[in-house]
Amino acid sequence: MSKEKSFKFESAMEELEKIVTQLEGDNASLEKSLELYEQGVKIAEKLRKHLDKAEQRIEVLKNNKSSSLEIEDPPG
Amino acid sequence: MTVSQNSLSVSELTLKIKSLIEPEFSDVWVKGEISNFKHHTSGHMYFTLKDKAAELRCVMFRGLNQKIKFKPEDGMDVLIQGKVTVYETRGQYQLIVQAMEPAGIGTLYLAFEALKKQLQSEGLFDPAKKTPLPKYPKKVGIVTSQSGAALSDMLNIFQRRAPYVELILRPTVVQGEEASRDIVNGIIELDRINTIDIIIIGRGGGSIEDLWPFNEELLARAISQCKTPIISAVGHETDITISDMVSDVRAPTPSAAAEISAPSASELDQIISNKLNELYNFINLQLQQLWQSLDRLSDRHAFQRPNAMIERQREVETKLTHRLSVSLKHMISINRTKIKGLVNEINALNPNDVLNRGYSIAFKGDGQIVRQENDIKVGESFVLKTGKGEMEAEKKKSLSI
Repeated sequence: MSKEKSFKFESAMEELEKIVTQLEGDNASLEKSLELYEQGVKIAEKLRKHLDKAEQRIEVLKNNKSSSLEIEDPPG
Repeated sequence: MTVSQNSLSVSELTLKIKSLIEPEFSDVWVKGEISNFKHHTSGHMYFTLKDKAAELRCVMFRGLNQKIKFKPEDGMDVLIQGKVTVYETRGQYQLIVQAMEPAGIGTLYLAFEALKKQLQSEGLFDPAKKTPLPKYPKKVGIVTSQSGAALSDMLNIFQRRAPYVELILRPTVVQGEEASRDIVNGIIELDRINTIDIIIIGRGGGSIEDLWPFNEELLARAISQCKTPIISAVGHETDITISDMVSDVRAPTPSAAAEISAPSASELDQIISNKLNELYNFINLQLQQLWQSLDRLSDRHAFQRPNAMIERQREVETKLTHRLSVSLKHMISINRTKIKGLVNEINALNPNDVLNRGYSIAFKGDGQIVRQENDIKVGESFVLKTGKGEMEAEKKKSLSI
């Protein structure tokens, strides 16, 4: 759970975008490009894994205390 | 000065009155009680608005009165927005009704309009003040009733589309006296949690009184001061509250708010796929370019047959060697001929050879060769050398040449 928390989805997406733009700007050596490519693929895999295994987590704040409780079936 | 010259016609006077009244009362709010209400077959509504001391003729035309959400009747207190016009043909002024609300709600409307004007002048609705929503939110805070339809709608949407989003619910009362204060506290609490990317505030549909907490100034100011972007989703599509106007984004319904707040997992998956494709295409392009330039290089003669250069050099060398040896031989043969010639020449110069061919040489007594007739006197003896043997001879006389 703490591992999951350390993974920042938004910054990972941004990182992926940055890598693509960097590659797009070419001029990079083949080694550098391949490195970027590998990095990009790794990040994309991570992002996908994160999306795949994500289960909705709902926390309810009460009296300034947060309790992590699964909400019963949404009230009709 | 005569009276007749200064008098006006009825029309002229009426027109003067009209031009004085109409610009002055082009947009007024009036409260009063309905009497003599008549909904004409033409669709227009005619009635009198009155209070204890005065009466006012009112007309509400068909196009506008179709929008009224209640049924006006005699004795009802209403709040009316409209303009005063003068009806020349009957010498009457009347109120052309633009909007009409039951008085209780009417006061709310007035308050709403006043607050809206106030906040607008302060720039709280300024589009430039709106914070854009983050593209990829991880955590969304929700301020709404824990038992309301709004929450269940939102949870459904989140579970179906974006289960990757973490939700933090701050339950609040959403109607009644305490509601706006509670919602404000909820916003402040969630705004303090740094990891929250977006806050959704809202509730399901209801009467204007039910929705009223979302029109309170206190809430408007709290929204405006909140650092986290806020989506306001109050009631149905047609309900627009002050909260909607101050918020960074207005969603027509709570469900829509859930949709707007985060891209769906499949959308994200698509985005990731696209990025991966782009990555692959770029690296592929680069590799292709490298291959091409490599091909171009290897197409060159030198690379196609790596030994060619060496071979060619060897060829050149062989040719040179050949030429060298040929020329050497040539030189030798030339020299040989030359030597032969020289030997012949030398041979030709040998005096014995000349003598052998029948010539003789005359030597004087002192060994000098006789080269002309007068080298020897008459009677002087000399030696005559032939090819084979010598003899002594004597000059008898000179012969003329």
